[in-house]
Amino acid sequence: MSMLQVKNLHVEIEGTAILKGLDLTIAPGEVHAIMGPNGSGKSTLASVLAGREEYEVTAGEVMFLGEDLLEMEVDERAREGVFLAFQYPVELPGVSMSNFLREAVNSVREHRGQESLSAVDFLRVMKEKAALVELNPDLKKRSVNEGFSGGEKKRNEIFQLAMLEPKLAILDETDSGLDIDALRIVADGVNRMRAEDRSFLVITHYQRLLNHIVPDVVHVLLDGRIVRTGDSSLALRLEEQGYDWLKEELATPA
Amino acid sequence: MSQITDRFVTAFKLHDGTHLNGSNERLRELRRSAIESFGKLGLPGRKSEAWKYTPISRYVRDDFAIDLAGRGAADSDVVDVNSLRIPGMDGPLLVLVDGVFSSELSRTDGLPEGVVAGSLRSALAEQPEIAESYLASYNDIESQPFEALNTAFIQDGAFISVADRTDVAEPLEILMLTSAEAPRFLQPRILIQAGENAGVQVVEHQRSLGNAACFNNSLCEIYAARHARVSHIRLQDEGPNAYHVSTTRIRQDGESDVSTFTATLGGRLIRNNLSFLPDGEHCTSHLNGVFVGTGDRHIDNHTFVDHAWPNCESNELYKGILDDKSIGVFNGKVFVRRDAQKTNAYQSNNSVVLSESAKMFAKPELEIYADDVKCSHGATTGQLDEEAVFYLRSRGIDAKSARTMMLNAFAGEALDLISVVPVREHVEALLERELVKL
Repeated sequence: MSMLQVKNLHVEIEGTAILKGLDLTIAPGEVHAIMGPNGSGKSTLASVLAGREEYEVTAGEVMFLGEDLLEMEVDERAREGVFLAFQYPVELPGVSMSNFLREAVNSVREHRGQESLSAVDFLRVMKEKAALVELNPDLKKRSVNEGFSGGEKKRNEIFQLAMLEPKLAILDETDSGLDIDALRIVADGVNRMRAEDRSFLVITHYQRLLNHIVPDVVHVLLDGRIVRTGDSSLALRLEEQGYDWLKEELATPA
Repeated sequence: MSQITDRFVTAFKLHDGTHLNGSNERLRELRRSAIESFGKLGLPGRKSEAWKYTPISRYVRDDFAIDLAGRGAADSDVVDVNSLRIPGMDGPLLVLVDGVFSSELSRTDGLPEGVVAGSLRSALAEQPEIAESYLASYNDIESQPFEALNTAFIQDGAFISVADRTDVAEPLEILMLTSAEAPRFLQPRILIQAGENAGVQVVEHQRSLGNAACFNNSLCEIYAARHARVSHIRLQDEGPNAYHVSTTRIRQDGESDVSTFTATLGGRLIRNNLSFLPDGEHCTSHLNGVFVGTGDRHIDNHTFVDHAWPNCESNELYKGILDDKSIGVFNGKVFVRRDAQKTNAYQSNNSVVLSESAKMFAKPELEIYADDVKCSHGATTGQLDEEAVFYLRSRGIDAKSARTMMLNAFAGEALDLISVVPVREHVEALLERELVKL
């Protein structure tokens, strides 16, 4: 069964069509990258998969492990195993990292029929996973994302990914605003989370993240549709030559 | 004179010389000038700016019995006090039932030497000098009708006095119970006096035993001598038919530190009038609070700090959560007189309004006549941050828990200022209780 199967997805926001018939199939264990210029619909795809209500799906379907993803509430999707690493992680003043993660982890565990983690186990896991992305373990007392640097916020997203162990992780421009060291740390964290039963959808503007997280499949999104699919060499060509050659090819009838 | 005002004045005349005997000459004078003033003022009407959003007259119903016999205490044996206390508070306890001190229910053993805690009526009888020096010495019976009314009808209440250089380690809980089975108008009074270098923490815990509509016009006065440290926490957790005007008047001598926390999590209509007079240099005053409105609860906090001396500091933080058809009012006045140089006065009021029908009226008022001061105020009224709720939900936390987490975090900044741990934990629990209704 596919991890994710998107068929003919049409999405509008405030009456403007953004996605215009998107098809995408991801098998378990695969890492797919979606690249595309600004305004092509990359973030819209991430938002729709995560369940943002302001986007209206006007046609098509999204199946996640054989279930209709679009019928699920935001929190239900997360409990079923969909994770979105935010492009702009939200600050939650007054909500401590440990409270937040304990609530989240235990919601997910309960859903999977697992017992809640004991306080001791929870702290141990937290410490272990924080080390994956080189986050200071003192963070547990800090408010979620409050006062975090740009790089810390992105590392915190991958840390949460590691804590929640999703089946499908969507990384929405996780590389934006990262310097080269932070990029490496984030990518290493993701690579260590790669598994046979876990898939990734990496949405990015630039190829450089894909030097570190090497995808199995690269898609190019243009004007709301996937117009080209290839292997990681496609990403390299886009990096070198931009999108114009592809636009020209598409304009010329074969 | 309106009909309702007339009822009070008539009741006063009826009981003057009996229930309002006033063996003490100063008390007798005080009552008479108070009732005279009340007769002139009447209850605040529509045009009164200070009561603009809280039309109090309509809540003082004419079927409220003005009962001065003090029957409440007689039924006190049926009250299970331990189940009414704040969990974890097992220190000294003063119990008022319908404004009358109950010595049977109270527990004041084990207090350090120099501490008097008990009935206000007894204290006035046994130590008339208290009436002389403190009682109503920082009241405004000339312009505040509820203060005038309470003062005219002083009968009983709680009295706490802490001698110079005496530290009371355990916080004292005053359980202010309204037991009435039928509509009544009650006027409890509390007098707290802390001597030089004394330290005391008092928790005033307001609760209802019955469901009858009752109106409390309570008044608490606090006098802090030089270097005294006083903490007063008021926890308002009354029933859905409780109407309460709570007035707190605080006078501080120099170098004293007085903090108040007002937590409103119950009742139908609550109005808190809180006035601070730092009456000397280097005073510190804290005015903090939280309020939660559900159903048709109406919560009004009016605060006033009168900075008349140099080098004083006041800090104020109120946080409110309003849902359903509830109404919140915050009016914070800070007055900095010309001589009050080097005043630091900070005020902040933040509210979250969760429903279309809930309302919040916030009015910070800074009047500054000195030119070398640091004063600030901030008032925000907004909605819950839905982006934050989305973020929490995207991690598997259900919508209700996500909202509760955000509201707890919002209130947490103020709750952290409650110095008595069991009280803070209990307020957190009550907040959870109220949030479940949201």
